[in-house]
Amino acid sequence: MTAASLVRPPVARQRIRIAIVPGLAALLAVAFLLHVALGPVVIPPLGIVGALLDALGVPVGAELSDQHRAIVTSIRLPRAFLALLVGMALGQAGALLQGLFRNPLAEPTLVGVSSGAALAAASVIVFAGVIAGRAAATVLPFLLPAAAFAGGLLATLLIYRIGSRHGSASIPLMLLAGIAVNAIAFALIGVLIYASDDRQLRDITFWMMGSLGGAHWISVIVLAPLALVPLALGGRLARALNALMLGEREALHLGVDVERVKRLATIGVAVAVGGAVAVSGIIGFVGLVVPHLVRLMAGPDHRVVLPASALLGGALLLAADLVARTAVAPAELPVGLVTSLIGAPFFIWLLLSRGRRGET
Amino acid sequence: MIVAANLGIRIGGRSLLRHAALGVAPRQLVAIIGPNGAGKSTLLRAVAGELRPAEGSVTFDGVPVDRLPRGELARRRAVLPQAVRLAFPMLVEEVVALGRTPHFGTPTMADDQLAIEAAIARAGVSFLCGRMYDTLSGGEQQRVNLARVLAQIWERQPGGPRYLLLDEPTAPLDVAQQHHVLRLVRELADSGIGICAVLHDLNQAATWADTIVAVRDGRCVAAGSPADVITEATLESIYALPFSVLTSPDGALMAQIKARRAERQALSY
Repeated sequence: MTAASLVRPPVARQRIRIAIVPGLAALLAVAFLLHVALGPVVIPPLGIVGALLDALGVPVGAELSDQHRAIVTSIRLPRAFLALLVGMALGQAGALLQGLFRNPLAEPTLVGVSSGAALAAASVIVFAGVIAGRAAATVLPFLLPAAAFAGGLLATLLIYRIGSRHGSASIPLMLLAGIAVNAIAFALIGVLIYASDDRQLRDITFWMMGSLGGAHWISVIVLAPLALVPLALGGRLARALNALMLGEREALHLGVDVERVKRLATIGVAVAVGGAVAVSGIIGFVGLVVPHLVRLMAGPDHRVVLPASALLGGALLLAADLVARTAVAPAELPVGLVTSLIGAPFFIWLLLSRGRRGET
Repeated sequence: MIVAANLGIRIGGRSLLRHAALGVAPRQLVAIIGPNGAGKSTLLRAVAGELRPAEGSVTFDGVPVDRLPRGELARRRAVLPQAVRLAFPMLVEEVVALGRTPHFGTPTMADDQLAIEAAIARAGVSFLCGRMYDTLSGGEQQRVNLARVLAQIWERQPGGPRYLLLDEPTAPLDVAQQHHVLRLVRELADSGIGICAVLHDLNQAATWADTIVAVRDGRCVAAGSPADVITEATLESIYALPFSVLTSPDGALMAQIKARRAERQALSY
C-alpha cells in the first residue's frame, strides 16, 4: 500500500461523494417528470420530455395533444418549477445554516425568516382592505409576497444585529435572539388572528401551512434568482464552512474571514428562504432533514453538501407536492402539512437510530 | 522572527496585558508559563494576530501582523488549540486536509496532497487514517491536529520562516502522551520552525524550551533560559507559593511546590 492510498478516504465514501451529485440530479429529474405527468389527467412523460426539448429549440417531434400541452405549460410546469426552486432554496439554506451554526439542528426558521414573513403576510391579509380599499383583491396577490419577503429579511437583520457585539456576530446570541424574535412574531400574529374576520383567519391559516397552489410563471421568474443566491455563494463559502467545522477560532487561524462568512451566509439564507416563503408560505422540515440525509450519505464536506442539498431539497419538495396534489384529489392538501407529517417522524427516527449507535 | 514589543491588550475596557514582550526565532522553542488568568493565552492570541493590540505591536519578520493579509498570515503561522471538537463527524485525513484551507487559490495549492501526506507522516498518525476523528482518544486527536497545523505551514522548498503557536497543547493528555507530543514539538523546532507554546507544567517547560517567558497579572515578569527563570525566587514571585528547585543527576531542572508538613496533616484530619 502506498502512502497516497493511505490518506484518501475509504473507497465507499469516495465513490458516494463522486456519485451523489449526478445521482441526486437524476432523482430530481425523475421527480420533476412525475410531478408534471401525474394528476387528474395523466400525461405521457415521454411527451413532456419531447415538449421540453422542443421549447429549448431541439425539435424532436413532440407528441403532446393541444389539451395536454395547455395543461403542462400553464398549470403543471410552473408549479413543478416552483416546487423545485422552493425545495432547492430550503435545502441549501438548511445546509448553510447548519454549517454556520455548527449545529445539525439549525434550520431556516431559527434566523426568523419564516416568522418575520408570516407576520408581514398576516398583516397584509388583515389590513389589505384598510390599505388598498376596494382594490384590495387585485393588489393582494402582489402585495402579499412582497411584504412577506421584506418581513423575512427584516426579522433576520434584526436577529443578526441583536446577536452582534463589537463588530462580531455571536452564534449562541443569534440563536437566543432568534427564539425571542420568533416568539414576538408569533404573539403578534396571534393578535392579528384575534382581530381578523372568518375569511382573513382562513387565509392566514392556509398561508401558514404552506402551499404551492398559487404557482404562476411570474412567481417562478421572481423566485428563480433569489433561490439561486445560496448556490452562487455556496461555491465561495464551502471551504470556509469546512474550516468552521473545527471551530470559529480555528477557522480564523486558517485565514478565514469568519465575520464575512457569517454575513454572507445569513444574507443568502434570508434572501432565498424569504423568496421561498413569500411565494409558498411556511414549509417545514425540508431545510432540517435534507442536509442531514446528505451528510449521512456523503460526509460533511460542504463542497458536496451544499449542491447536493439543493438537489435533494428540490426532489423531496416535488415528491411532497405530488402527494399534496393527488392524495385527496380533487381537493388538495397544504404541502407544508405533507412535509411536516412525513419529515417530523422521519427526523425522530433519525435521532433515535443515531442515538442507538452512540452518536449525538 | 516574531517580535512582540510593548504589547497592551484591552478587551471590553479591561486591560489583560501591559508592556508584554516576546521574541520567537526559527529553531527556537519559547514556553510561556504563569498562573491561570495571568494572560498567557491572551499573549499567545495577540502573537497569533487574533487580537488587535491597544498599544505596541507584533511583527512577523519585520511586517506588522495587521498588515499581513489573512491568507498570507495563515500560510506563515499555524495555531494548535487545547482541543478541537468537530461540528460534524469527519475522517482523520479530512481533518488534516482542512489545514490546507489558506492555500486554496494560491500556487502552493498544487502541493496540497504532498503536504497532507508529509504532515501525516511527520506527526506519526498514518495508522489513524480511515478512522473517524470522534472515535480517537484525546492524545490521538491532538496528534491529528498537530498534523493539520503542520500541513498548514508545510512547504515543498524552504521559503520564509514558519511559526507554530501552541495553546496548552498537552492539557487534556496523560503524561506519556504529553511526552510524545512535546518531543515531536521539539523535533519540529530543531527542523527550523519557530515555536511558542503556553505550558502549565514547569518541568516540561524546563526540559524542552530554549527560552521561558513568565507572565503574571498581565505582565511579563521574567524571561530567559530555563536556568534563569526556573528558580525558587522567580517561581515564588509568580505563583505566591514556596518552591524548591532541584537539579537531577542528569542535569534536568525539577521544580516542586513545598507542601508543608503542617498543611498535609491538617488536610488528613
